[in-house]
Amino acid sequence: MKTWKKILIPFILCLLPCGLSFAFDFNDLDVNKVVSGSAKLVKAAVGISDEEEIKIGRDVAANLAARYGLDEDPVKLHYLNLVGQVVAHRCSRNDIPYHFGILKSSEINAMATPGGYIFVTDGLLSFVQDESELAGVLAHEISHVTQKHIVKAIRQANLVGAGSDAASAAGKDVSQYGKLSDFTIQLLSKGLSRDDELEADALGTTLAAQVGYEVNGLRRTVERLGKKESGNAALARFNKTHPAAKDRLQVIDQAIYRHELMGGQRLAERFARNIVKNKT
Amino acid sequence: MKKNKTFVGFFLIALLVMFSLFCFADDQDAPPPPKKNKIKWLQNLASKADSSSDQSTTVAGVRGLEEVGAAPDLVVRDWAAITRLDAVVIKDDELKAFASEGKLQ
Repeated sequence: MKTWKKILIPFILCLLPCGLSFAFDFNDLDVNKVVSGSAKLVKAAVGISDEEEIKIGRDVAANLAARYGLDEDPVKLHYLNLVGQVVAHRCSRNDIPYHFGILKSSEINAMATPGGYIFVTDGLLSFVQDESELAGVLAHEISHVTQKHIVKAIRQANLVGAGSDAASAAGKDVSQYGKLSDFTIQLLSKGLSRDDELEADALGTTLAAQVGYEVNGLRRTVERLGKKESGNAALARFNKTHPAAKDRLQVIDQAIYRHELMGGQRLAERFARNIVKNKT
Repeated sequence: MKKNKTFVGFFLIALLVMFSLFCFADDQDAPPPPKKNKIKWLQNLASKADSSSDQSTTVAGVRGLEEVGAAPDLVVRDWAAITRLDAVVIKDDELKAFASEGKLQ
């Protein structure tokens, strides 16, 4: 028995390196693959690339356009895009394209899809009173995009988990991509988390002020919305998807105080020239 | 007799180890499974998305009438409207002039 062990153990030990060399062929080690693998791991931590996010956002935007219809008045649309772009230009995520559209709806609301498609309703354009208020609302929506709030919600819903990305998830099953769009459409209908909304209020207030708009633009809009009766039909969806006005005002005031924001332009006349005179 | 049994046992185990290693080596030589090309997938997706553009016309009559609380229609798409929205481009000079006029940064 001892002789048997004496022969077998050295034999297996001799074969072991041979087996390992089959299992891990170091000669074929591709450094590029290792680097791209690491990059993929980093990307997995984020979950969805900008390209994928924009694709989902465009799909959701097409859904909103079909459900509501777009107000394509050229003066209003051009002006909205000017205000939107001047704000987006200063945001922390200005390396993606932003598009601003008007939904044909008397509801007072605004929404951002992933990847930079941002919509305001005709109702909201009638409600805000100057350019600083409009810029404040747009800055709030842009902040949802810069903070990737919807991407975060997708990951929290385990639609795209750690270790996989949207493309690989959808690569297995194209309908998986549709699930991401469907989830986003439903999320916009239900509303983002309270924390995400409040974060967008704080960041939006700061962003609009940094551009040079009067610091209380978003604050005035939220305050007037809070004073409107809660049963107002035009506000039903807005109230369902946003925190209470008093909580939002508290966060906005904190942002103004913390960043010592003051002054700025209201631009009521320019707003009236482009929006009020072009009301449909 | 005992030595013969030891030798046979040793021979069988060695054969088993060699066989499993050769099997593994064959797997290594086999061509890799075809990769799902990400770009090709995105192209397929784009063509699939464009093909649904006709659906928008079916809901045009009820646009904006969706009730609050009702489940949103997940199927409809108006790709033509989004293409027109994409075409709204603000040139840098115009943006600078707009910011300057409003005393913005």
